[in-house]
Amino acid sequence: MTSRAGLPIRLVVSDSGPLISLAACGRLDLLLEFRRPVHIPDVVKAECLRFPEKVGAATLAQWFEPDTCPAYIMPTPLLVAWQQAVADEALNPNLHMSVGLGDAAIAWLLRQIQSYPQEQEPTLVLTEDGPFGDGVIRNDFPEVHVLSTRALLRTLENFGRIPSAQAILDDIAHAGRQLARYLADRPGRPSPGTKTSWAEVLAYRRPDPGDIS
Amino acid sequence: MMSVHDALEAWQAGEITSGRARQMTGAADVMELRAFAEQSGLPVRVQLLPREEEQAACATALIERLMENEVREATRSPDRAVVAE
Repeated sequence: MTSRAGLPIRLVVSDSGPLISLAACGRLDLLLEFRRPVHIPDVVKAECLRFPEKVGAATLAQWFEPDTCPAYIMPTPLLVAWQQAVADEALNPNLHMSVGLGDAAIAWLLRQIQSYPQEQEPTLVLTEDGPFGDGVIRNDFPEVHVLSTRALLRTLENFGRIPSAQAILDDIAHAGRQLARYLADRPGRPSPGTKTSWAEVLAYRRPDPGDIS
Repeated sequence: MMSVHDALEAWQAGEITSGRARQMTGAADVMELRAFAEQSGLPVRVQLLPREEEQAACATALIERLMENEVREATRSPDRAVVAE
């Protein structure tokens, strides 16, 4: 039997896509299943809240309430650039200057984490963005675990934490969100001969709301 | 209980069938399963495992025997061969 042992991840960084998808189906609680602190760069939060009329935005606005938000919002130097880009786009809708700044904020955050001893902070990025996961992270941050929303849901089903991944995917679709087919559950390689893993915690008890912090 | 990565790894190691791997990953078909494996950092092997080679050899032998039988039958009764044509 193939060995599945891995270095347990210690923190999770989420992109906007998974947050919007989980908000669309009312299942942001599934982030608790990681039983690890979830970090969200400030630009990613801003992206989630930019268009209040869009799918999941109202749920996310409530979820991001400072007193109750179960995630850490990480300040980055890119928020100012994002705000300026959004202001420019408001004046000229043909501009797309804010595109990619969420990914840049995640990359900036990962670069900060890289300065720690890597065995101490095995990190997982939750994303639906194939080019970001397979390009930027695979090339520049090979120590980082990449997990897509689809892979998260399938694994939760395999461990019996949700009855059906497909039912949740259907709920996301019914809410009007087009979820990418991208599926990745790619361990990071913090050092030669090691790899990260995240799913072992699912074999244990259900998480309490306080476990995330 | 397996994560998606573990399921893909087990499939590539020949420990579970492609059908089971599809069930555990949500892949629509084997081509998508291969794409998921690639995206999950698992190189798709092209060589057969020893067990698969054995199965392939058995199947090949069976097909050869069936073909030989058909030829033999056709030689024995030429009328049948004409009808078959």
